[in-house]
Amino acid sequence: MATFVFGPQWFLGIDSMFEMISVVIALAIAWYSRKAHKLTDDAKYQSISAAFFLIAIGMALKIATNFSIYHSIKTLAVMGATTALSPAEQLELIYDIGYFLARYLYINGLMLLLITLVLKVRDTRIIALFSLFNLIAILLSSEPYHIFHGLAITLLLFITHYYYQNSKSRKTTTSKCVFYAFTFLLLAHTSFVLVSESWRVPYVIGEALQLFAFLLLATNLILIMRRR
Amino acid sequence: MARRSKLEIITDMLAAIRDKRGRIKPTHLLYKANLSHKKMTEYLEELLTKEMVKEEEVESYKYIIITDKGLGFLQEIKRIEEFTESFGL
Repeated sequence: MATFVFGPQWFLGIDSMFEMISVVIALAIAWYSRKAHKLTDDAKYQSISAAFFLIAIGMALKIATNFSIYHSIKTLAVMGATTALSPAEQLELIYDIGYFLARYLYINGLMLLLITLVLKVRDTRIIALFSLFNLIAILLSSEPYHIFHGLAITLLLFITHYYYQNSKSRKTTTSKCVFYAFTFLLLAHTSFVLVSESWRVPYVIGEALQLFAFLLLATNLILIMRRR
Repeated sequence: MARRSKLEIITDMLAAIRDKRGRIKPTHLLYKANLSHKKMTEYLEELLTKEMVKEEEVESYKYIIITDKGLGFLQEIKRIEEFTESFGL
């Protein structure tokens, strides 16, 4: 039987609110990169747009899955089991499909950032190959939760190191914002990986760190947009 | 020196006009943008079509004037440059 709820009871819904804000910020970055691509016709903006779009959709799917699970728990508690599947099986099916898609898209977003922007590889065959590795790792793992956060930590280690070097050479407020944002995102996933049945506090810390990371990315975008 | 992209050339042309208080003679633009006459005419046509610049005659001299749209474009390019730097693109 899968664990459907990772955080403490009082945090249900608050996590979705935090993630909703992050989704909006990720979509704003995707939109601005798309705009930059249209204006300059440079493929690198298309890559960053696709990466943040995948991250946003992944997070949105997690919110939708959580919402469905909470709703199903309430409905089944009131109506009882009237379908071919037992309530537990229904929840597990929603959880499996929803979370698989959410994790797969989110990891592909991070992978796209690493491959196209950090490693500067534009070969679509390499991107497809890495995407297939992610699919196998997340789909076939008996511990998809830990595999997902482990993969995210690995990718974010490389991405954060790249942004550390970038902020060191540029020395601008905006480049520091991006570096700190990815550092907080790395810390968030490190916190998520520590969550267990008996210790759910790291989930709350992880969600707060993740929100802070996206707020820093929003600050970066606002600073750029306000530039005259 | 690496060849400039079309976007870089257009940005250089608009910046050259802006830096000359918003209006410039075609010969000066040719010199400032470091282009051949044929290439400059080609890019100027595009800028005129996109209404980023306009032509005006002042005391029998032809001037190229940057429009609000052209100034807005330069501002957007500056923002994109900062976005590019912040994300290390």
